[in-house]
Amino acid sequence: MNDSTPAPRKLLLPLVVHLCLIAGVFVWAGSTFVVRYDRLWERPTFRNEPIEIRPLYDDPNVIDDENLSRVLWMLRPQLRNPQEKINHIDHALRMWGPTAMLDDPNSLTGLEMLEILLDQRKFRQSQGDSATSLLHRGKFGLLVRVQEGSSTSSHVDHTLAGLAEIGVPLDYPIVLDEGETTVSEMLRSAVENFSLNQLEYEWSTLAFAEYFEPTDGWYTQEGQEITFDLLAQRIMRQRLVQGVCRGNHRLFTLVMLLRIDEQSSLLSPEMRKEITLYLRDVTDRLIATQHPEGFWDQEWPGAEREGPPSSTGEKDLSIQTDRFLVTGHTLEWWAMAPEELLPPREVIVNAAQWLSAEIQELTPGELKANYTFLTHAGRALAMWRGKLPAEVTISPIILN
Amino acid sequence: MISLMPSETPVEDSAEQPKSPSLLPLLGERWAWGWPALLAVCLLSCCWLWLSFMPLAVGELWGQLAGRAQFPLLDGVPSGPELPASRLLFQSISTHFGLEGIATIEAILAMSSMLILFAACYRVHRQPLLAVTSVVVITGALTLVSAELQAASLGFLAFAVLLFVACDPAESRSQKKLICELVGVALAMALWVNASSTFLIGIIVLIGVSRGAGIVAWLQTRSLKTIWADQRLRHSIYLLEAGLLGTLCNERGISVFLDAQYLDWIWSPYATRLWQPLTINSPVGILLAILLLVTLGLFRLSRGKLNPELIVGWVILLLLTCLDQGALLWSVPLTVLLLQPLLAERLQVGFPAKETSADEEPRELTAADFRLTMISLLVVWVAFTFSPAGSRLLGGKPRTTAQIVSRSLPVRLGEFLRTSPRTGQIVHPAAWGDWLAHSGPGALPLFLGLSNLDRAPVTLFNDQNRILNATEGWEKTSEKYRVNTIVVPVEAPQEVLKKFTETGDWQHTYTDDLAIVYQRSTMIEAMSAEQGAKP
Repeated sequence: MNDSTPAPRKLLLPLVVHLCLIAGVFVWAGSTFVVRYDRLWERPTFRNEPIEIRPLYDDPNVIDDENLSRVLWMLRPQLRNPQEKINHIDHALRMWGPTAMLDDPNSLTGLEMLEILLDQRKFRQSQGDSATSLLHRGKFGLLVRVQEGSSTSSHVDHTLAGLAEIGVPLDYPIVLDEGETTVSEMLRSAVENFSLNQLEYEWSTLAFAEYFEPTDGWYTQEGQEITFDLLAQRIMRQRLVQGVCRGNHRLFTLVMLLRIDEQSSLLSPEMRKEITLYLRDVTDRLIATQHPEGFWDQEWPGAEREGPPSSTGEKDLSIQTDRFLVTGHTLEWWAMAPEELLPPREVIVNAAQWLSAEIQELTPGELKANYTFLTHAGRALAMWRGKLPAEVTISPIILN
Repeated sequence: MISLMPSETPVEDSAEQPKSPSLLPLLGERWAWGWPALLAVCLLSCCWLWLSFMPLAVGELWGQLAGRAQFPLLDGVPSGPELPASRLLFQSISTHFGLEGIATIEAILAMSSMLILFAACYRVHRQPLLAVTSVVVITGALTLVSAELQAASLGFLAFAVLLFVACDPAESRSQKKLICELVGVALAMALWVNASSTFLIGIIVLIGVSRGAGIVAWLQTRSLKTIWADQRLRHSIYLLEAGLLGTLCNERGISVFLDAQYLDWIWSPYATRLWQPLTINSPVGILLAILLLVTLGLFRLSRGKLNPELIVGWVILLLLTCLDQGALLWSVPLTVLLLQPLLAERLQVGFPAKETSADEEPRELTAADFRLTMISLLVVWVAFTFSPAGSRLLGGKPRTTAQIVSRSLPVRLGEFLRTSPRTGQIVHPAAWGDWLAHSGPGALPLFLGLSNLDRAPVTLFNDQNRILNATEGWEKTSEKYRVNTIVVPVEAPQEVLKKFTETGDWQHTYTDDLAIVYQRSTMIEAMSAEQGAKP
């Protein structure tokens, strides 16, 4: 110690300056941290009504009214059975929408299907008291159980994306045992639980695109910044045939991104171009691999530079199921795709006529076994007439 | 240092005695080195040779050289702190002089740090042998822990500068000296913050110095009023402020603290992935236990004066070493510097300068007085010529890459990946990621490396481990990332290796002493067909 005398007055000013300096540094550091921390927790603004994307084409050459009526009548939601698979109800709701009311006592109405999914009381009436509940609360809010038995959903965020596609607003009520909430909580929870590296991401992307206001991006809980460009890149990364339904849901989501981008800016011009080129390549492959009868199967991507994939990303299906699956899904995303991504019309006509004829040949047992895939086919055929299935007037001849 | 000059004394009998010109020294007595100085030079030369032949480590150096463009799965993950000083230095050296240039620069930086630490030790007690022994102990201890140079070499240099300033035994500083120290500290911190994310260590040292001075002032006066009047305390606070000011000289301003090593866990929950908690039965644990025992022994036995300004920083760094063994790089030099005065007092060694009285006639120096200086220079020259840098400069045979880099880096694997056609994502141990980014083909899509492991999303981190350990679902995971190439270390368990080949989907395509490569069979066939089709 050099100087043990009390601090002279002349040292007071430097002391105050130093204290101010230190306080200033702390405030600066704190504000920097808060700004960065806030950015981490910023989430996109939701729109209450999801963006409505309508089919683009109405071509009676693809399917005529009568055949369409027959097909749709066969695919009516005859799901008024005890412990009917939620997967079937989920798919049927997506196909028929919430307004569907079919003249068949064994068929569920759109509203009934919606209530089974979103009202726990109706869910228990349908599935029984002992069934695993579809909805539950997780760390970040309301979640849909996935692949935990027949009373749960088949894919991550499939239910949510389905609700978006059929136009369910975010303030639509959800009834739980512990009280009421809204679809908004389900979406919030999906955003918080989302990881770019999760196994299934197609439906999450679709739901986000439908419900988000235009956004520059947001952060996941893992600290990764997500943009729709990045999501599109991720969707295009996998081998063509890999992913759910032989990779077709990825293609559908890409098309929907392009369509939604026209109304609510999601993509950069470069990414839009990249997606378009990608889908154009897919279309060219489909043209080349279409069977003379009109269908496609798991071989739809044809030859790829890195050889055939080790697996096709789907459990082994029967030959017929495989054809229904690929052909129905393909017609579905083409029905939404801009003209530049479409094949010559005869390719679509051949596929649709094969599909229509084959569905009409199915026995009730086969219909039931393939129901989820067939809902895509039925929806696709209706959309090629410019309508959603619920908007199609079923011909009285068929009803009689 | 010696010149042939005619003697001023007139030669009386030139006919009888043969004429021999007298030698008069140009250099003063301080250049007439003794045995201790020669010994110190020998030990420092050994240190130089040791550092020159140390392999380049597995670490962030390769990440800095390669950039992060080759880790596509990290798109959207905030990048780590930009380190322009080390990036520019190493990238330009790598471009012009290759790996040998980097190894030489690393050795020079490490040696410079050791020389500064030597000077820091020497200024405490003026005992060259003890100072050089301390440097040897520091080098040896760090070598024992990791026989490789760290990429934090620029940071270590700045750390040595801070310790040099902190070890000043003078009770008071002149204005000029204080300004020099403030500028030096600010520059050191500015260099550090732009060179390595470990700069927080410097702040810890500076905070330690000011706290230490504050505690001493408090203990002596027990009065808050008088503490501020203590000149040494004020100087230490000025040093801290200069250090903080220097730290702000970076492109991210104060937010650089959010990415500082050991502080980033607040921000990024995965930052602690790179920490290696201390275990007592590891080399680091044993070394630290020995150091603590020696410290306790010296505290008990020695009456030497501790430098209070180092204690606070020392305690913090020891605690940090318990959380992460890597912090030993910083805690060992600080421990050695702290113990210096105690050790010097206990051993009673050293060769203090001879006290010369004012009326004593300066001794006339002869050529013989410079013999040891000459031998010292010879030793320095020999050490230089034997080092890779000297050997290269004198036309020697350049070393191979395998001789320059760490043995745990898969040198030949990079060669294989460059020549073998492949598509898709590659999965590999994270420790090799940055090296492969540097040594592999340009657009190699890598998974994760050590330079980004602290930020990688947990799902990505888990998926990498799932594939490398072939645990349940690894095939589906590999499809998710479009993985066509898997690199596993040769020491992977046999049952894991078997899983890669049992389905026939993957083929074993490459093995060397470190790595085994499996590639997707369908891709190999397609690539072979493509190669065959080319004219």
